[in-house]
Amino acid sequence: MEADIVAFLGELHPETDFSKSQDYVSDGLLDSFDLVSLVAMIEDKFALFIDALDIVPENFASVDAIAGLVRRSGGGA
Amino acid sequence: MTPSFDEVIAAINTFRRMRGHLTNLFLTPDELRQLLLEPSAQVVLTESLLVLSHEEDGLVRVHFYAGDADALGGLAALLPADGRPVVVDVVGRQAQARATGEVLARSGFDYQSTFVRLTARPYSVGEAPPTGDVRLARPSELAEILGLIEGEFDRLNAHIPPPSEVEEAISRSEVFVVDRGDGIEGVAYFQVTGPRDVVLRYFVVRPSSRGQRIGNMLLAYAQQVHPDDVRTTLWVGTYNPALNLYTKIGFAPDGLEDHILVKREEHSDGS
Repeated sequence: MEADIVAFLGELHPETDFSKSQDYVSDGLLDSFDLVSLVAMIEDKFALFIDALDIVPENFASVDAIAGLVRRSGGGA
Repeated sequence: MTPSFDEVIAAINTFRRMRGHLTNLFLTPDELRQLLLEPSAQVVLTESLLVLSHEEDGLVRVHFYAGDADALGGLAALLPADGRPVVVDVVGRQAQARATGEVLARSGFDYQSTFVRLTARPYSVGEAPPTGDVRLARPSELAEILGLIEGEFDRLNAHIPPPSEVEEAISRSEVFVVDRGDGIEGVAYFQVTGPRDVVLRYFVVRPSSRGQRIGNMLLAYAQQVHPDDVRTTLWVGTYNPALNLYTKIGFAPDGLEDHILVKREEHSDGS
C-alpha cells in the first residue's frame, strides 16, 4: 500500500522530493486540491470511501499518515 | 430550517458516493464549520445538491456539491437574485474544472475569466537587474500597498486581501517594494507556505513605472532572500499579457485551472 501512495504522490508532483519532508501539507508540498486528487486516487485504487471528516491535513502529512487513513477507511491489510 | 454542520457533512458524503459528482468546495471540516458560522452564510440542500453561499465585499460567493451534472444544472435557480453579483469559482485539474465550468455555462452562468496556476523551481529573470531599490515593505506603507493592489485587481476576478492580511504579511517580511524615492513603484507579496515553497500572491507594478524592469527587480530580490531550490507558485489570468512573460522566465502550468463564472442577470421578460 505504501508503494502505491508513493506512486500517487509522484504522479501529483513528479518534481518534488517528498522524502525531505516531515509534513507534506505544512511544508507546502500538498495543497487542498492535491488532497482531493489523492482521495480520488486512493478511493479508486483501494475501492473504499473516505469520510469527508477525515479529509484533514494531518491525515496527509506523510506516507504513514496516509496509509493509516487508508486502513481506518477499510483498505489494505 | 438551516442544515446543521453534521447534516452538511452527511450530504457531502452522500453526494461524493454518486458517480459523476461535481464540486468547487475544497474546505477542511474546520474551514467549513467556520464558513457556516458566517452571518451571511446561506445553505440550501436538495436531494442531490448542496449550495453554500456567503457575502464577500458585495459579492455572493457560491460553493456547491452536486451529485451529478444534472443536479448542478439546477444551481442558478437556488441562488439569490437581488442585484448582487453571484460568483462561482471552479478550481481543479484542467479536465474536471473545464467540465464543471461547461455545465454552469449551460445553466445560467457566464464565464468571467480563467486563471491557470504556474510553478517554477527556479525561475530565471536573465541578466540580473539591480535590486538596490528593493526593500521590505514597512507597516506605514499598508494603505499605499492596498491602493496598488485594489487598483490592479477587481473583486470579480480576485480575492482582494483584507488590510489585516497584508499587515500580517508585512510583519512576516513577505512583502517587497521598489522605492526609488518617489513612492512605491512596485510591490510583490510572496507568501511563504513551506520551507521550500512560496506563493506569489500579489504582484503589481505602478502603471506609470511599467517598462522599467521593476517586476524583474522584485523577482530577482525574491530569489536572493528565498532558498535556492524554492518552488514559486502563482495564479495568472489567461487574459493577462504577463502570462507569456512568466513562461519565458521558467514558469509552467501545473494543471490546475480556476474558472470564474458569474450568474447571468435575469430580465423582467424572463430572457
